[in-house]
Amino acid sequence: MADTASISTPAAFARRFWRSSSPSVRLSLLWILAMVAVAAFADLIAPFDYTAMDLRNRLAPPVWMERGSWVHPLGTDDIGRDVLSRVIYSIRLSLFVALLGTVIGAAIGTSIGFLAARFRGWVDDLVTTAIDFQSALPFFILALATLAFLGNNFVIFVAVMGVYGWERYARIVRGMAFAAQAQGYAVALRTLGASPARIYAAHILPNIASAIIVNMTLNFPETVLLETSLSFLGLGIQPPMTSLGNMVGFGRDYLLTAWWIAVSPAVVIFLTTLAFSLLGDWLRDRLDPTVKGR
Amino acid sequence: MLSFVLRKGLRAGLTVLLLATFTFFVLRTSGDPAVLLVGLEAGPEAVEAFRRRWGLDQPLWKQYAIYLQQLLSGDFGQSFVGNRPALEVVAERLPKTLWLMGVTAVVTLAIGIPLGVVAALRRDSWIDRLAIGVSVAGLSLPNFVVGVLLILLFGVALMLLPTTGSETAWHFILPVATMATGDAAVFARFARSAMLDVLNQPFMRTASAKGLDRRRAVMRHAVPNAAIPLVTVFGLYVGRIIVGAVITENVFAWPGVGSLLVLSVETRDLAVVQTIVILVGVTMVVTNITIDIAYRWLDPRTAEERTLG
Amino acid sequence: MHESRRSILEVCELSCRFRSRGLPFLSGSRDIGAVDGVSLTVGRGEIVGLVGESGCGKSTLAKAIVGLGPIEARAMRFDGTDILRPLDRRPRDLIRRIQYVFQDPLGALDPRRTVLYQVAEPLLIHRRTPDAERFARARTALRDVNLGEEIEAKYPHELSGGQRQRVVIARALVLEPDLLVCDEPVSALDVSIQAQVINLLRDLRDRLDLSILFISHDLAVVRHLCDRIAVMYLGRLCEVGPAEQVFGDPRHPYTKALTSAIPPSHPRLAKPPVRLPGEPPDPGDPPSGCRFHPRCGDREALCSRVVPTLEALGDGGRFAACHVAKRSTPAQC
Repeated sequence: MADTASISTPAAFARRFWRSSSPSVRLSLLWILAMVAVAAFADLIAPFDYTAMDLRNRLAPPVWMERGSWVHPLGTDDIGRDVLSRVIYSIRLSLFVALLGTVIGAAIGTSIGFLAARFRGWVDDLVTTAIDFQSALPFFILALATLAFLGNNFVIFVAVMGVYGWERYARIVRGMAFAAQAQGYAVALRTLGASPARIYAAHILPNIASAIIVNMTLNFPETVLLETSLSFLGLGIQPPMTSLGNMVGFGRDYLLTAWWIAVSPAVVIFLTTLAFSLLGDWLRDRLDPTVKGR
Repeated sequence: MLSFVLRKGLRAGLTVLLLATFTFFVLRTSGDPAVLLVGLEAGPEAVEAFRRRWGLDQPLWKQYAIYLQQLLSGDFGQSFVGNRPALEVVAERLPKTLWLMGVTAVVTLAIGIPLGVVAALRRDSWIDRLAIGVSVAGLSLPNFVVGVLLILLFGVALMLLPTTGSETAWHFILPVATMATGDAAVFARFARSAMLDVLNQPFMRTASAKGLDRRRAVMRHAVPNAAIPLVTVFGLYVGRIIVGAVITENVFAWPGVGSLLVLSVETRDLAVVQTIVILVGVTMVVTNITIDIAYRWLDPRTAEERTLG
Repeated sequence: MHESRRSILEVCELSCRFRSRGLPFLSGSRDIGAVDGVSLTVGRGEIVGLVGESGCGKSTLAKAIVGLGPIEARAMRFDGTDILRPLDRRPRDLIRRIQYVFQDPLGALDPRRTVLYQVAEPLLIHRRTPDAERFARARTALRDVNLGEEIEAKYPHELSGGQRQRVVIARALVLEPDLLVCDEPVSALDVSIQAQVINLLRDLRDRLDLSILFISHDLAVVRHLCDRIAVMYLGRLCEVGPAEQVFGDPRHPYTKALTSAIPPSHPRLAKPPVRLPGEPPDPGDPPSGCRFHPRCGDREALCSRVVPTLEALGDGGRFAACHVAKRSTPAQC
């Protein structure tokens, strides 16, 4: 609680971050900021459109190899599309889908957790059963089944990404909301005449927001992995859209002749998820002292 | 203990029932299941026959009851590839997958646990830092990226190992390495923290104070006690290895259930998908229940139950 | 009853029962009567003190009046309207008119909102003031409890205990309530700060004609503040009357024991303290007859069999629930 006031200004936050972080955490943050910038300014950075074909320059290697040129610094794919541009647009789409999925998941899970805490009784029983059910099964398999049953399009795919991880938010929020309800301030607000909606939205939510945010930073890289894995298998983002996962998936067929198609996006996936888990671990240790040393 | 097993069994049954219900209703909301399950190529007579066989002309609750009855009697529907029972299609692919997962699990544990124990005993040494560093990478590296990189290195650059198929023992090396690298590091991390917990316990300090040989004290007392929390990690691992197998099989064209699942999703061979989903559900539930019982067996202090499945 | 002023709160035979928590089927559940058949009135502009040991049910009674917790009663009226219903089924304006002040002011305030926001919030909830005036009104309320501008932007954890409790009181006062139910409002505070809050409450009553039900286990505090006193033991009232009379001439043996423990205003008036033998019994399994009889020095055979009712003791507005005290006073119609 005592931190609340002191981390409120960005400058103070930056100072605290610098003092308490290790070089790897700082590099992680730098990389993530770079990725966010790439995603935001993809149109300005990318030398080509991600669908533009250069048929005379098919399977061109990266610039440092023989036959490579600065026109296509990371080479081209089987139909002459610029790998660098495709990686840039893929970063945008993968991060966008993961962000959307994370936000939707947080919203769904938080609402369900609040519902359980608000109505208790059979609603709570239903929610806990659903949480246990969800956490007992690998989500990846359920996602595959859902995509098989409902068919795949962008909206359904994003919805599946959004459902991913809801049970962890719900479990955390339910527990914390139960605890917060019993706190004096929630009871006091009731005696002042505040509606449950006001108590949850204006008071309990800000008080448990840090736990939700930590879970979002942990959930985000996992959503990236889920999206890229499904896209790699050809069951996620569909062409002509491009994601890091389906670039690796298509590049796999050219590993013998044009390895660069798969390797560039693979490296980006690795570094991004690594940066997020380093940062997430650090954040969790900072904000939640109970899990230290794991 | 008996009531504990009963209660766990009931929960497990409920989870499988929920899963079956999920597939039932998602299938029903996705269009005409008769057309979907029989396939568009089949004529109207076949669809009609299918409707009657599955009772699709009945009201929904009755369909649901019939569906559950069919599942219980082992009828998971027809795969429209070769028009054979879905269960049969899955079953013939199963041994390949079980081999892959079994070998991977053995390798993962055989590398991960000793590495974690050594890391704990030599805290803050290079081996400790390596184990922690690799485990962070291991958790964040998706299997398909590892797989693709391994193919590039050993299959393409060095041309040492086969990268597709499952015919010989050599074929196991790359898929197993793909799945085991990250997970071994994760196990090492858990084993390390479990060992550290035990090493700091009073009975270990007593043992060394009594002048007991350190190696014997570690092997006799520390390792068995550290194994207890690892048992719970194993439940999560089974989920990871199933997902890992689906992806890895596709990277290396391994002819198992994982490739079948992805193929079936692509071709919308829904009976097969449904069979695999329920199979995975049963596996997870059985694993969790086994772990719960094992945990109680190993650690009689835990009256409290875990909340998993 | 005796008040010349119309009473604002009337409670008639109120009981609160809790189901004890146990394992289902195994230990069986039983009802614990935390409050048992209590009748009480609070007059307009009157401060009534409710005293008793901790655990006797006074907080439960206070919560029942504001609509928190289970209620069972013959009648409960506020300014003539029935309020025998839980908080979320009370009309909004009724909720506004009965305000509750908590024992733990730090817990009663949201740790992540500023003082000014929290004091203005009730006005937002009840839409009583135009948006522009809301904060001005909140500032006035803070002035009323003698808090300066410098605390407006602070968070609860940055305040002292006395400041926090005054913030809680200010938050209740912005709604212009008719009745303030104060549940041990000063027991968490230092003695010097207690006096500030007590004086504040008395001052507010005088200026705003506020009615206050003041709950405390501290008799010295109650004596200073209250017009009338109700003494509670194990869920029942044992004595009610004007403060000076109850303290000066207690009738119920329990009140006698309690009052003898207060330091007297002059040493020469000191009486030997009456010691109570034993511990308060388990409220889940109260003694038969008069609940006080196992610890009572004056008990008779009747006391363990017949429950004494709260009856008038003749002279002005005094009531006691004691067989012995009743007999020693001439009966009155």
